[in-house]
Amino acid sequence: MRFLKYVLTITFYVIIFSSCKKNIQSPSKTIFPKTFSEIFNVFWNNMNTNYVYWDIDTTNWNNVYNVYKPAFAKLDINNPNDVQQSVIYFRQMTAGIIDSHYNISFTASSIANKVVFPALDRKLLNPTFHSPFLYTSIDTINYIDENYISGNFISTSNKESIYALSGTIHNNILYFYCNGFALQEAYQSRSANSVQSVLKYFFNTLANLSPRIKGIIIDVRNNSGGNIEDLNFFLGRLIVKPLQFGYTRYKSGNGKLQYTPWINASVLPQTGAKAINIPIIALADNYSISLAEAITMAIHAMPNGTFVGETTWGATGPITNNSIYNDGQFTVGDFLSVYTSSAEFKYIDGKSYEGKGFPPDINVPYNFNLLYNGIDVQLEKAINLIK
Amino acid sequence: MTLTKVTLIIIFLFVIQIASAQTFLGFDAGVSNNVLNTNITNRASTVINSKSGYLVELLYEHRMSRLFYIKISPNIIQKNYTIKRTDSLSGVFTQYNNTYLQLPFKLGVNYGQQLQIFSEFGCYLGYWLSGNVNGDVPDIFSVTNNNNQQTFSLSSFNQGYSFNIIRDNRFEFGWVANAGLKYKVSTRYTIFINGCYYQSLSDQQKKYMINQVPQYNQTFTFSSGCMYLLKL
Repeated sequence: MRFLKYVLTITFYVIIFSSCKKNIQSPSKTIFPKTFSEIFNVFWNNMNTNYVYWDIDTTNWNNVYNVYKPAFAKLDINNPNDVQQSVIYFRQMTAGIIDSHYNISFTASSIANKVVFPALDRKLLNPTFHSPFLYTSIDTINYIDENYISGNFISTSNKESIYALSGTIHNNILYFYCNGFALQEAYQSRSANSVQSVLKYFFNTLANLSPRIKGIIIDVRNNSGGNIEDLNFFLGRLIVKPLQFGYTRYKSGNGKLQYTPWINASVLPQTGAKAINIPIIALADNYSISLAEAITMAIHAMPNGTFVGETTWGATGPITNNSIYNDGQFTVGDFLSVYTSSAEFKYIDGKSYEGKGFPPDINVPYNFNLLYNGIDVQLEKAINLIK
Repeated sequence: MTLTKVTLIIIFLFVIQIASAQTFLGFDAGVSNNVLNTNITNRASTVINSKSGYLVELLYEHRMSRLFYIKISPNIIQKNYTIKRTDSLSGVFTQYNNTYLQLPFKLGVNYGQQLQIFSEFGCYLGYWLSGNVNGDVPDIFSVTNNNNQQTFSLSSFNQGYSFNIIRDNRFEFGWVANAGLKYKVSTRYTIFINGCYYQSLSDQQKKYMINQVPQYNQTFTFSSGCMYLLKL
């Protein structure tokens, strides 16, 4: 009888242990989807796990699954009309995505010219949104002293052509402009380039700042951003201790809402930097994007910093390779690639400006008629603040 | 076999044996070692490692016969784990230290006289009381680039875990099995050592998204303690 009890007990344990074994599936292991159903599944799952703004984005991604999974199942990857239709579906699915970096580019040959860019689609519906304007075309004539230095550099890292300019205004304001960021790459490039000369002029002027210089204007209008390392490389010359301007956090698991804690986002001073106590003004407009916004926000966080111009684009989340954080940009086989933030960012005031844009201290709206007549009211406002 | 069936068996044995009951009270304490069972094979250079913690426990044991007894053992237990990055990201980690209040309800069997072997099986309910998260993560704004070689500085964090009402399932249930040795020091006092395994059957997250990858705590404990016989 006693033996029987032990046998029953052991049997009972074995049944329970074996029946509770968990076999947990990965979200998606399809690397090269071959049908639209597979493409949808890989895309949807990657958005679920890689997109960093799910905590504040109002897109109902579960509902997207329920609506578009059957729609994609009806598409035939070998039918050119269905391939075109898929682009419409991707545009509809992501229309409300707040990440203003977010865009989908297609690698399939028949739709390689298509791009889904939700933030741009929304901005084009806004009557106050304006096209990029080449401010330096009039500023170099009407405001910047003649002995300015300008130059170009083709970045190998981000494939952009960087234009930079530095000089003085009225001989008492130090001015710097660039249309994108690959400044450190240009500066360290073994092949001499004219952006190196611009940077050397600007950094030398900062290092030996003359008492006649009453203020500095950093102009990042019509600047599409670029390499993150330029934040420290460039702005780190204007500070002598770390400057916190916000917080970042990253995805920490496969759940939509699994994040690391927030960590401080700071600009770090560079070797040889000197304390700048004169006013520093960031000029930015609605085409100041990504790192241009980070530069603007960091200047705004300086005790002597002011932001003049327009509300920025609203793409504040920095971007790097997916493998660093297991989040952000991803590809869906050889069909499409998604460009999206690697980190969620909020400004030092605790607010997220993703999708909204960072507002200026002094709002000076874009005025094409005045610009057409050679008057840059935004730059004039910055000059007047320093005077 | 469902948990409901297990519970019914335990209640049945309790009812038919309760007339010949002896009652013990006791406590034990020890270490826990927990791992989070989930699937992160889609995440590059990432592993989940087990992590040690502590266990403190009160015991109420009710003998139904010379062989069988039921045990209720409310405890405070840590269910910790670490998510580590490997390869070139070695040094990046996030450590979760989670404290649970648990109420296991077990059926046990003894064998022996002064030195006894025992084993127990049952189910438990748990509540995720609190958590702490610490680690090192690459700071994206710290990146430096030397000859196209990007280097990040690590930023440390150590703070209380912020529960998310949409994400976190603070209630846990599962099954528990354990075995150990008891030694009767006197008529009333017994000391013991105990090895125990808790398997959560409930996801650590609420069901808040489609294709959710579940996460289950799996916890081993090793403890020692003593019991006092209240009623001969």
